[in-house]
Amino acid sequence: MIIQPFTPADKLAVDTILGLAQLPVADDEYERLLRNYPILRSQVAALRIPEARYALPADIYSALENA
Amino acid sequence: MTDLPSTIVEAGEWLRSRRLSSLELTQAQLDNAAAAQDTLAAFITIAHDSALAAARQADQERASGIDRGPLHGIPIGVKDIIATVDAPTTANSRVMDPAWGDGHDATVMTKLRAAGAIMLGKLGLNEYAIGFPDPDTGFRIPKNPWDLERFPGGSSSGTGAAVAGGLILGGLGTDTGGSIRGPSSFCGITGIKATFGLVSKEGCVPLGYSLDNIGPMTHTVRDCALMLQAMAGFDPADPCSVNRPVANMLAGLDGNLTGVRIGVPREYFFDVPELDPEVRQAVLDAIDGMAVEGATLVDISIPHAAIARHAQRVIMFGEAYAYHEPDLQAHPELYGKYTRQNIRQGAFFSAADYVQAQRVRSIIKAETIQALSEVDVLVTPTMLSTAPTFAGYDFESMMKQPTFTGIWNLTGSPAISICCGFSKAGLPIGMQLVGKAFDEPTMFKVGDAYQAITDWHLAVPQPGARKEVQLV
Repeated sequence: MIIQPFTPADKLAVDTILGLAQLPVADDEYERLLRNYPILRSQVAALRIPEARYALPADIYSALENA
Repeated sequence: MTDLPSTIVEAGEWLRSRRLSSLELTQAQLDNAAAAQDTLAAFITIAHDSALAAARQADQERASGIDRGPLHGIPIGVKDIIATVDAPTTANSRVMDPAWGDGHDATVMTKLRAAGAIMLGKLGLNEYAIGFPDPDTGFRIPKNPWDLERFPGGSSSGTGAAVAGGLILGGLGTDTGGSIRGPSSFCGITGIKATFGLVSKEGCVPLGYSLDNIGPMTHTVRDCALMLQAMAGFDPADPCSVNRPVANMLAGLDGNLTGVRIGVPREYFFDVPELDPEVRQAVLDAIDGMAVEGATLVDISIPHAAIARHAQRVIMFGEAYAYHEPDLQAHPELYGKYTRQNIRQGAFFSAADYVQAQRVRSIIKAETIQALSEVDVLVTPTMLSTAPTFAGYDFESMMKQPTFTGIWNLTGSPAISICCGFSKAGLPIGMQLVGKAFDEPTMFKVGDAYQAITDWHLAVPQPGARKEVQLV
């Protein structure tokens, strides 16, 4: 997995998400978020595997009470 | 008091033979727990008065002919994220509502008390079962009895420290990605995450709703089996609880490995470069040792094991963030910095990311079922290394490292960590057995048979550490 440094688009995404979620962040933690955001996205990208294209998610829902 | 039993099984024998009363055992463990607070710092709350009252009751019941079974009169510790009627629940956090769980026993506590267990105290943990050792939370940080400069593992840090340090014979941990098995490995004890749905998680502060488990941590496999027997069973109060008969956890404990098929997933679990060679070799030696005793080794593969950790993290952080969002918005400063940063990651995953992680979960579960169709158990290392020092513990590097534990939270499989050796530095090494869903008895059979041919699980911390924690 190749981790890219954060880009202006990453910064925009981080700022947008923090703003929408109303999450206050200290300066040092903001820097860390920027640094780690590309890692998070690369890990999520690794989940987009062909085998999962038509797989059913593991969520379980039943209409029965306590099923 | 000069002598105490070293396992739950032994304590039960002593209590039944009147060699020891529950009151004497409980008082001794309370004294040890209090004495070790300045060194091991395993407990958040020591339930002195209620524990002694319960011990007196256990002795009275026994005197009148009532025997509640192998846990009757045995003190245990409880990770302080599980509700107990006799002590507050802090989750090691300043964020936690002090009224949460007030006057309530979690379902597992109700079951353990019915089996005669005594609640000795609430044990330390990483904040909300997800933080890292952090003085910012205002709570003391549990230490590893094998080396007080080292982390006992997390998040069930206090349970690992207390069992390994001889303060309790058994305790409860919780496990969303390895929080029982990690401390068990680092502390040289035995700890199991059972099949998801076997043990009710009602009354436990959630971390990842679809990944959380409550499980026992003890010195031996047999003790784990005894505790799990009492804890397991359907609970309508937990929507994840599975309504099926509970197996006899002790049924397979015959000490025999002949014919047992052990799956060895060499790819990923034994070949990632981050794996400490000492850990790798110790686990391979343990596997070879079981083969000598009659087990058959089968190489198996779980093709997508390497991305399981990503799926587990997306699900765990997504579910945790949903729980914590209001507090992260309103007063983030009350969280420890590691907890805050960890959980906040959940905001950065989309709904589609979460569902995609659940689809990958389906695939890895199917691969695991396929692998286990050929064998009775899988064996892997539990952790990449032995216990790290607090000074060398790097929060940021953790998110980039492989793990061998979270995958089984993803699949829901039962998994147990067992001590299988020590490093040259004298630190415990854990191996992990993984079983088929709801087939804990087979996993216990293999683990118990391994402990019958080895004595790693009987090792106690070195004299220096023992002296410091003032063990009896």
